[in-house]
Amino acid sequence: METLQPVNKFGKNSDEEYTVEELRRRLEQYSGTRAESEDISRWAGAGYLQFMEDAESEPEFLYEILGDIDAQWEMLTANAFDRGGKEAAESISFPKKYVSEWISELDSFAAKSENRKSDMQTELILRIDRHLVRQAEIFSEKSGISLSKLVADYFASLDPNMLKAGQSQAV
Amino acid sequence: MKDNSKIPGHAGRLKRYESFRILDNLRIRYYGKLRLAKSPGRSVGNRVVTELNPATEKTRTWMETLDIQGRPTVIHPKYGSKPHYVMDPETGKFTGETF
Repeated sequence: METLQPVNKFGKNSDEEYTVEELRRRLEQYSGTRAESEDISRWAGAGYLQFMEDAESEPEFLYEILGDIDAQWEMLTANAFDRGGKEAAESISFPKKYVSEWISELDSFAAKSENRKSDMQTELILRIDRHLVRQAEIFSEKSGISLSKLVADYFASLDPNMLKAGQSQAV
Repeated sequence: MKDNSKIPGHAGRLKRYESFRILDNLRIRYYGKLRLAKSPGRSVGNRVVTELNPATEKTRTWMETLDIQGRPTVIHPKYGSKPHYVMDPETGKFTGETF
């Protein structure tokens, strides 16, 4: 079967790289001109379409904002056309308030994303014989495997099914 | 019944698009998330639409801007360098105006 080749100009064919940092840079540099509005919406639209066709695009919140930027541009120009015709549609630019809201959303999503990452790991305090700790440290240095990973790997190897019913097994 | 899993890209699109429908000509239209306008006016919603022709496996994508009744007011193809096409929501037809 032939591989699906996207034909849209603004889709996967784009060589642009989409990152949170790049979106933030573009939004923070926005000074309110028509040209900048067109540039941001075109760039955002291409990224959003890339996301819609590419399962590997991450983080998802970045593309949500890119999609909103493109959609707002479509509606802003459509409503400007209704009010003042072609000339109005072709001269309008993003209100700075919109851009501030996108930056806030970006900050909010990025913070939540970081929190989720840090929530994935937690500290564990162990009470272990000092001699054993030193032995583990030497092993860690020689093997290049961190103490955290050594302990985590051991925990990962534990299988509750190996325990007989009603019995506990000392570590 | 047609096996949708054999449609190229179908499974991936189901994760990202809100809905899809199969047209009489067997092309498939995928509809993205409807976004509401920040700007005042009769155009209150916008979504991306991708149409797949299973016979050729080619797609074309456009953004459609909608009024409060969900009727297109503007269509903006996202292939080639196409302008925004102004639609008449009452008739569903192109008004002849672009921007």
